[in-house]
Formats: sequence, structure tokens, C-alpha cells
Amino acid sequence: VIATRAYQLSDAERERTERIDQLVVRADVDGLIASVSDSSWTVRRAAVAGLASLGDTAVPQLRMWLCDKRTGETEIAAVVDSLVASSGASIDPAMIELLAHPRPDIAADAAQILGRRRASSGVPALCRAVEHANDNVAIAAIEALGLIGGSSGMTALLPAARSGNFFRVFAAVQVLARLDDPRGIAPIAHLLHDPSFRSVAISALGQTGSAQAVAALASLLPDADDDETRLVARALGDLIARAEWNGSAAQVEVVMRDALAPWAARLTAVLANAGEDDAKRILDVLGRIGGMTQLEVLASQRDRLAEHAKTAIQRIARRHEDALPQVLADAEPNVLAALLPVVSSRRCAPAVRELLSDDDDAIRALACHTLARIGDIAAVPLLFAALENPGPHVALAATAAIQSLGAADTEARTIRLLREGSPAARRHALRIVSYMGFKNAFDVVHEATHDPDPRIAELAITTLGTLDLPAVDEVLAGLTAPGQRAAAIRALSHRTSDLAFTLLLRGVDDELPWVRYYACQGLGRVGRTEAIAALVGRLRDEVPHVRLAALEALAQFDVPAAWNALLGAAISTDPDEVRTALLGIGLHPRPLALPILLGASRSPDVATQLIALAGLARHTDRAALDSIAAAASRERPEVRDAAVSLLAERPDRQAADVLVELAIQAAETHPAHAALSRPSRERIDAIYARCERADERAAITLIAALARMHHPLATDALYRLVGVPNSVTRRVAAVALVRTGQPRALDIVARMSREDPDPAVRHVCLAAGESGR
Amino acid sequence: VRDSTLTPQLFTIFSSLIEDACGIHYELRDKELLAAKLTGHAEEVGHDSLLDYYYHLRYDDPHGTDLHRLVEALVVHETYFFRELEPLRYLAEQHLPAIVAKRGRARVWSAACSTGEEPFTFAMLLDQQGILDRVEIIGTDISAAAVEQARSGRHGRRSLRDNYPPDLAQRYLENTGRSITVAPKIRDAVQFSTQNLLAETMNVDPCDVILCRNVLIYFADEQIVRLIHRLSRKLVPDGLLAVGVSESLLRFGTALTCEERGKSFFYRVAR
Repeated sequence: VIATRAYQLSDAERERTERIDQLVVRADVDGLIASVSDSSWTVRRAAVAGLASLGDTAVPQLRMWLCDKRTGETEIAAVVDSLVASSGASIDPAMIELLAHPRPDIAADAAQILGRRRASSGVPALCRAVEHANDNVAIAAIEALGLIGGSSGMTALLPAARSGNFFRVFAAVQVLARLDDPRGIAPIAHLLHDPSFRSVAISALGQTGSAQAVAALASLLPDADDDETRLVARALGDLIARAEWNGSAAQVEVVMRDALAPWAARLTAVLANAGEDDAKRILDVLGRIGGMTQLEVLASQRDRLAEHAKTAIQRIARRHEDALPQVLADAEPNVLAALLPVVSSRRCAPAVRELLSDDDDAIRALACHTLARIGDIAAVPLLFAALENPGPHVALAATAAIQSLGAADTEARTIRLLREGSPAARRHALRIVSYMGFKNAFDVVHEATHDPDPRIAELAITTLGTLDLPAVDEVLAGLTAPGQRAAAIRALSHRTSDLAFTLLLRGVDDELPWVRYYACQGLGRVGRTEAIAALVGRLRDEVPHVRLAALEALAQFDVPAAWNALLGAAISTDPDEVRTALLGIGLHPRPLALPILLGASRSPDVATQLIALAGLARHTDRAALDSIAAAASRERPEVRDAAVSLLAERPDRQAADVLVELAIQAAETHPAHAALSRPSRERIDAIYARCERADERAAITLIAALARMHHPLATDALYRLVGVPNSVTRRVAAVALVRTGQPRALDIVARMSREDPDPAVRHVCLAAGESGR
Repeated sequence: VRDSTLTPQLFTIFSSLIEDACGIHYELRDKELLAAKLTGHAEEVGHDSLLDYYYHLRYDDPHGTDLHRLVEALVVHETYFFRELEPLRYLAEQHLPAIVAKRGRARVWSAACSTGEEPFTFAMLLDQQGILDRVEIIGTDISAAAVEQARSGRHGRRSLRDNYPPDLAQRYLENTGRSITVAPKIRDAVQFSTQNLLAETMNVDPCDVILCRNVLIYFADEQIVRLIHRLSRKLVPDGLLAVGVSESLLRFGTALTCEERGKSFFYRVAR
């Protein structure tokens, strides 16, 4: 109700919105400006969009309004928004001129507009405006330089950071911290000595994500009280998060350990009274610098910050693997629960085996998984004993471990257990037979199909179907009792013999719905065209899930009858039927499927959207790719993540290009960034090509993605990018290269600091090279 | 389970099925958690594919028995004694004594109380004030199994966590190391019953205090608005609703006003 209310227009609003459309057609700028103060948000946004769409036509009047009328804050904000969104070419020169307007409020608006438009042509004027007598204008100019990015504003920002004027320093420090320019760090660090700016500088150093900032932050800890320690810890947490984003977390972590290891206990001490957000950051830092002595305290945070505490404990454990056997023997359940998933050394096997008799079911289950992971075959007898455990998690974990370890005597032990175990253990034994395909278990499994316990009997029938023996089909054919038929047909639905096919075909007309259901499924898997008529007949079955199984099966056949059935079902009123039909339509990338899938990709039902998108991913048509790209920007995380994932899975360059543009436009938290940093030649090539014409923001985004790949091809691309004609890209790539810490990178950047034709690149390379060394 | 992958599509259709049944809203980040629960239940009813299990729940479970069983498994959320104690202290030490002094009796409802640790904690605080016998405490949950465990007064050791008040724990809880048992006086002071908060009828008389804490986080916005509206109709004039410390109703624009009392926030029907 709440979600939709904002988007539902009343009749009066709709009428006013339509009037705005007419004003746009008539290019009636005054009329549109009058509408930006409408009481309805939707109508106001329509007016702003209308003004923006008029481009240069509207600029003179908007400029005049901004200078002479300015009738209210809402209207000013709307006119500013219109100028920001407009494509008019005359806006930037007009705003540069307005920066010199005698009225500070007008000059500040002009600065804001230039910044939000990322107008690099405005940088010189904005640099001058940083020294404006009025603080509001100066701050607007500083923030605008931050939005435009790049190093060309440094000449103005560095003096602003040193100006001593609280408001300007504050704004300049915020901007310098995010510019990714190593020259910004020293001035921020210098402010740590000034009590007025100390806390601002601490936070800003965290925002830099630079290893260079670590020492400055660490230097505060010897004299810091609890509040300041928390502030420093928060900044360190931000710093490592930023370093993760720009691909240099590993290098920063090393620097952090050197600088902060003596202070791990101090950071741990402030954890207890830290708020949730601070505690998360402290845990993140402690995980990277802490030692085994911190484990208990970290584990105590698991109730409120389970994932962060677990990750921190696991990071420490990975660095101190030698100490693990002893820790496992003595640790509390909370610590064990975090440690066991990262144990990877067989030296820990005896300690882990001991944990199979721990009081806690969760620990016993984790111990089973751990023994499987470290390949401890000697634990198999104990794991078989654990199958008798009453806790289902433990027994299922033991089952998985036995299946994974596959010891020589597993078959004999399994058969014995199947004969002699408790009902629950026998079911686990059947699962092991099923997974391992133990043919020698045929007789005992066959016997179990008649077990008085229906759960064992049903599982035995399923298990029988997994054994690769000709006799199995005959046995399954003989299981005709009502309580056995569905399980038998389900088992047969995974077999490929003629007998199985005949039985499945017969099963389509069985009186039991689930028999018909599994028969349809099986016929779809087998894919023999003799089944089509029977499946089409089942589309009129009285039981919905049988109809759906028939439809799903027909989708496997690329024949007209199947296609027509799918088209018919795609317009059904039953959402399950529509989804199943779309699933089938998406399997075969026919041209006719495209409009149907495109339409469904905009369905109000999320599951339908997802199915349509998966189908569209198989189409090479540009419209299909555009539709997936549009879905990747939607609000629903299920849709957005699925679309990004489909783009990342496509091997073609077109999809990589779409992902690149998506990442450039999206916020840093958008999954497109993670997808773009998954190594692939197409993505590396797409990034490289786009970097050749990238502006500041694009270059930072794309080069960070390359750095996060940690792949030789990506690193090679970084080396090549410092040689491209685009100086913005060269500068950003040089900083990224220094972060790799490779001697060759430092040499190249040192040479660039002397020889690059662009002075801004030379300056940045000089600063970056110094910090790298 | 042969086909246990909870694809995004299956996640979406299962989560809307569950939300329709009990209001719990699953976010994408909860996918693994939901997958584990679904797989276990699918296997229990004999399905080796999650899609088959979905069809079973949707088309072959006419009385909703298996869906209810699944919901029961999903709604037993973690809870523990003395959780978010400050608001309970205010209610037990200041708010309710005044009502009892004025009217002689009061009624408190712990809605979605899971295995009962919250109403038991509240009963302990009221007993310390000497007014336990004059306050009716009702604990409800959608899960019959959780209610059954609550009635037994026996809990796992995870029900008592760090930073608990030792005086209260010592006086009212018996900790054997493997389990925790509530003192009979406290156990008998709480009346437990099953109640789906989204059901049309709520079999609870008007209350002076409703505790609905750490419940809303599991619901979608739309369900929260509906639930709060229904809960507010179960409050006496000036009755208070307590939600979890990380939950806020302010963004929903409900008919309730937020008040700070004793360093905690409560909601009251606007006069």
C-alpha cells in the first residue's frame, strides 16, 4: 500500500501532468516554471523533467528566473534540478558566467549546477570561486570540484584545506579524501594536530582507502581515549573497505598489521561499548591485525554481529594456522563455530575428530564438514557412528562427509548399516548408496523397498533408480502398489532404457496425480517425440501440477505442437502456468520468443520477470541485452542481482560493454561493480576500451574493477593503460599501479613523474611514487 | 534432495507463498537460510526437488497442513532471556505499578513470543516489584511447537547469553549447563496460546502493554502497517506498544505516536 501510494496519481494530478506535457510541446518555459511549485511531488518532477527536455530553448529563461525571481526554496531547487538534467550546450558557459554574479546565493547555485553536471570546463572558474569572500560560494565550489573529480582542482583544494576557515577546511578535506589523489593525504594528516579539525581529519583519512593514511591514524592511538580510539577504529574500517573497493586491500592489510599490531588489544577493549556500525568496522580491522588472543572477545560479538565476528575470527585463524590444533582443543563453542569452517590442515584432524563428541549439535555437524574438507579418511568409522546421531543436521553432515571422503570400506559399512542400523541411520545409508552408486547394495536396497517404514521404502525406491544395473528397471516396473507407484515412476524418470520409456508413457494416464506428474517430467527428460501427443493430452489434466509438468516437459521439444502449447499457456491467468510457459519459451531462442519475453520482463510479478530475463539472456538481439540492462537498474534486489549475474555470465563483448556502462552509472554498492571485477578477457577488453575515453569518475570506477580482479591479464591492462592518450586514465592507472606494490610499477610511475606530457599526471605520479616507496 | 538449488525464481515463488501464509518476508540475503529449511521439509514430505515441493504445497496440501509445518519451522526465531531489558524494566518498574495501583489489575501481551523467554523475563521483573499476581501475562506465537516448549519452561543453553543480570537469573532460572529451567512460579504466570498475527481474528482482550519486539523485521512494510493497525486496536486508551530497539514505526505514518519513557521508546495511540 505504502509502496504504491506515491506512484498512484489522483485524477487532478493526472490532469496537471497532462497539462505539463502540453506545455513541453509548446515549449512554454514560463508555464513549466510556474508548475515547479505544484503541491504534488509527481507533478513537480514532471515539470522539472519537461524543462530539462527543452535543452537550450529553456536556458535563457531559467537563467533569468534564477537571477531575478527566485520566489521560493522549492522553486529554486526545481530550477537548479532542471539545469542539472538539461542537455543544453549553453548551460555550462552560462553557469561559469553566473559564478561571478555579485549575489552569493546565485553564484553558489551556479557552482552547484556545474558540479552536478560534472562540467570539467568549469574547473578554472570553480578554482577561483574557492577563494570567494563568501563561505557559501566557496563551499559550493569546493563540493563542485569534488563532484567533477580529477586533479585539476587540487591547486585550489590544497590551500582551502590549509585555510583555517572551519567550513572551507571541512568541505575541502571531505573532497580531498575522495579524490584518489595521493597529494591530498598529507594536508589531511597535518590537520590531526589541530584539535578543531582532528576528528574531521581522522574520518577523512579513512575515506582515502590509502595505505599512506594508516601510519597517521596509528600515530594517534598511544594517547587516544576510548572515544578517539573508536573514531580511529571507525576510520580504519572505512579505509580497509575503500581499499577493498580499489583492489588494494591486501597491500593495505600488510601496512596495517605492521602499524597496528601493538594496538590490537586497545582496539579490542573499545569493542564492547561500540555501537553496531563502529563494532562492525572494529571487527573488520581486528580480523586483519589481531592474533589468537583476540578470538574470545571476537566470539563474544557473535550474537549481535555474527557475520562480521565470524569473518574476523576466520581471517585470524588463516594467518595463525599453526596454533589451530591447540585452539580447537580448548575453544568455546562460539569460537569453534567460527573456526571450523576455515580449518584446512590435516594436522588439525585429531582435534576435529574429538569434536564429533561435543555437546553441541552445531559443532558436531561442523566437525563432520571439516573432516571431509581436510580429507581425513581415518575419521570415516566415527562419521558412520555419527549417522546414529538424533540431530538431523549432524547425521546429514556425516552423510555428506562420508560421501565426500569415499574410503575403501565405505561400501561394506554402508550395506551393514542398511541392514542393521536404526531407521534414521538406514535412510542415511540409502542416501550414501544413492550418491556413490554402490551396485553391491542392490539386494539390500531392493529388500528395503518393501520395508514397513514408508519413508525407508520410498527412499529405497528412489535409491534403486540411481543404480546403474539393468535389473533395476524390471524391479521398478514391478512396484505397482499405490504406495509405491509414484516413487517408482519418479525413479524411472531418471532412467534411459526402453522399458523405462514405456512405463513412463503408461504412467501419463495413471489414476494417481503424482504418477502422472513424474511420468510427464521423465518424458520431458528423455525427449523422445513419441511422447508429445501424450504430453499434449495432459495439458487438460484436472490437476494443476500435472498440467504444469506436461508443459515443462513439452518445453524440451522444439516442435510446433510444443511451441503452440507454450504460447497458449503464456497468456493463462494462472501465474504458475505463465511462468512454466515462459521457462519453455526461453529455452529455444526463436525470434518469435523475443517480444513475449520482453513483455514478461516488465511483468509486475518478480518470478515472471526473472524467468523472462533468464530466457532473454539466451538471445543475442540488442533489445534482449537492453532489457537485461534495464532490469539491472531496478530496485528489487532479486531482479537487479539476477540481471547483473546474467550479464556477468554472458561471454560476449556486448554484455561486457553493458556491464561497464552500468558500473559507471551505478552507486558503489551496486552488484555491477563486483560483477565487472570477475576476471574475463571480454570484461578486461571492454574496460580497457572504455578507459581510453573515460572521464574521471569512469576511470576511477573501471580501473578499480581491473585492480580488484587480481588477474595477470588485468594487471597487464593496467600497465598498458598508463600509455593511453587519455591523461585522466593514465593518472588513475598510475595510482592503481603503485598500489600493486610491484617494483616494475614503481619504476614506470617514477618515469611518468618525469616524462609524462601532462603536468597533472607528473605531479600525481610523483606523489604516488613517493607513497609507494 | 536431488534438486535442492533454490534458484532466484524458486526463491521468489516460495517467499511469496510464505509471506501470504504468515507475513514473514524473506530478503534475498536470507536465501541460504530459506533453502536449508525448504530442503529439509521437502525431504520430509518425500520430494526430491524443490519445485515438486512447491507444487505439493500449492496444489496438493488442501488443508495447508504441510505449509503450516513449514511455517512453524521458519518462525521459530532466536530469542533469549533478558533481551533488550531496559524497556521491560521501565514497564515493570514504573508503568504497570501505576496502573495496578489505580485499577487493581493490568494485562500484558507478548505477541510472537516464540519459546517464551520474553514474557518469562517480564514476569520475573513484575515479581520483583511484587505485582506479578495482579498482571495477566499472555504469550502467543504462530508456532504450536514453540508454544509447547514455552509452556514447558525448559530452554536450551543459548537462551541465556552474555551480560545477563545475575541476580534475576539466579533467582528464577535453574541452569544445568545443558538446559535452563524457569522457576514454576514464573512459568505458571504466563498464559501461552497460538496466534497468527496476520489472522483475521485476534483472540486477545485489550491490553495495557503489547510487546511486539524483533518481530517486525521479518515482515514486509505493507504487512507491518496492517499488523500495527490491528495491534493498536488491542491497546486500551494510553496503552503502550513496545517494538525492538532496532525497529521504528515512524516511517510508516501509523496512528501511533512515539514517546520516550525511561530512556526507551514506546508507541501509544494518539489521543
